[in-house]
Amino acid sequence: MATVHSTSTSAFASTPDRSDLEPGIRAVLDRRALRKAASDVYRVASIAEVEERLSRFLASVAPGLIASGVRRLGGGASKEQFYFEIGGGAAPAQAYVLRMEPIQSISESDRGREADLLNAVRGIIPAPEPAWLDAEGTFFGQPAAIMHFVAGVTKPSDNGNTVTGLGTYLGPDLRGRIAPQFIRNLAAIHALDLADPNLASFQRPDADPWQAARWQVNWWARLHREDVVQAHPVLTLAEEWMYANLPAATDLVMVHGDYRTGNYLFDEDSGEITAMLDWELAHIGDPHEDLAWTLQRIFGSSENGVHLASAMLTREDFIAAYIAQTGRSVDPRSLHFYEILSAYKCVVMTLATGMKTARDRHNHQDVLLTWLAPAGYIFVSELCRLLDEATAP
Amino acid sequence: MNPSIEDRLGSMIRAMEEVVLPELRGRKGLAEEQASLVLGHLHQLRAQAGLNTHYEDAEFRALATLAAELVAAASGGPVTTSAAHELRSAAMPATDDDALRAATVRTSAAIAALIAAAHVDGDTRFRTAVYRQVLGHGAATALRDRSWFAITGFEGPDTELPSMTAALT
Repeated sequence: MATVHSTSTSAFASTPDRSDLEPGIRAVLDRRALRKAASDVYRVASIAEVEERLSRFLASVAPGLIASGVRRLGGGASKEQFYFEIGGGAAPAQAYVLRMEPIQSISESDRGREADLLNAVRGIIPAPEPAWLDAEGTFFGQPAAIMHFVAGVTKPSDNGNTVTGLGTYLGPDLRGRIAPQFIRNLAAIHALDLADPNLASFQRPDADPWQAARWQVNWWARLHREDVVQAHPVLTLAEEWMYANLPAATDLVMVHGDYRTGNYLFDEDSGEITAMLDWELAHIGDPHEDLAWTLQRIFGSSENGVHLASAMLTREDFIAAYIAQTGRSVDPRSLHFYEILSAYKCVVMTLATGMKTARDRHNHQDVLLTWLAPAGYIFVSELCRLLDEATAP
Repeated sequence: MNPSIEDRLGSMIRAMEEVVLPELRGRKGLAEEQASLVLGHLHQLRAQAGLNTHYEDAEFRALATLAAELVAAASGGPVTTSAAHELRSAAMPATDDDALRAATVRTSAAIAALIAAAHVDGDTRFRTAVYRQVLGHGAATALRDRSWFAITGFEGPDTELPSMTAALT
């Protein structure tokens, strides 16, 4: 049985190195800063342009294969997505999804690391299977990945026109079918063998017990500094609180980083999860981080006055199910820290990076980013509540 | 007679609802999603029309009040003293809308700098005061901002928020 140890404030935690970052993430953020500075407006690719780029790419990596039926997919604020098929005729057509990075998005990531992780989880957790990668954007102009298409929906079809993952209502039947898979898949992610050669691009935060938390705070604080449109006093206060209260973690796992309803596909009839999605923020860290993210109130739903985490389980039931599935203990202080970090990240994504990206016209979803920005104020309320429960430094 | 903002927003909403979206519905593509978001933004702008100046005023007033409280309580070493001095200069009232926005951004940044400074060499009592005052301001203004944007529909069904006009007073 693995255990999570947590300590209160220590000499390490009170004088953290604010520049300490996972090297792989530092490279992503450095590349992002250069791209932002060098770029003008991001122009949405036309279908004809995507067809032409796909044709050149396939001629290089898989001569003889021809893409057809290219169409733009909806959803997602971080990647331009296109559906297409290869084959047909005598052989059944294979369906694919092309995911292209815009200049800037609310979650900058590395297509290579994402593909490495998807290869590592193959056969263990349902997930999209990578087919080809253009990590440097040689063919597509921006880094891009091509995945095998997976059928499924992110929300029931009767949920209306809501932003995916916000305000999703699953209903008792679907909840009962999906929740056990949701917990099992999270446990499986946290049980991945970190020594798997596929995961060599992920560095371990094991220089000291506080490095896992420190890397996360430094990652998002850097994004906040680089993208701030208007400073928010609560964000600065939260940063100072987190640096003074970094929890220790000795049980390092693969953290999904965006584990919630809205980020998996399921079959609406059977309730089977067909793919866990959005692996791009994954990193090695403290398992409490995924729990805290799933528990964010805005990703949940309310039924008869009862809040359901990720639209499925009460907070207590979710934590109990995770403990039962993994045998891990859950430290309330670590969970509280990561709930503060989660709310902080959401404010940075919506009110800083999202707004900066839209203002700079660096994304294909400006209209979505400006629509999502006010959700940041719900996270500010949450941050205030969580910090109020903590002790002043 | 010039068409009013309300007239123009209303006509755009009608065009989106009755012509554009029906043409796109069912295609499940980005165009339908973005057209729906444009419609949502138009409804939001109509709900806020005529109140924007009040919102900007309320935002600056709340920040100026917090700034005054923090400056009055500031106590510590040279980093804190310097940041408090900067904040006192930043939080000056403005004469027009553009200047008001600039003053809001400037004051927010100066408050953030004082909070960070308090954690460098601020007295313990001042750091405690910063914590409580910033949280109080944050909680109150987040309610105002959530009310201002309640039409987005992100709030849960059990959430009770003040009306938009009540939140601005």
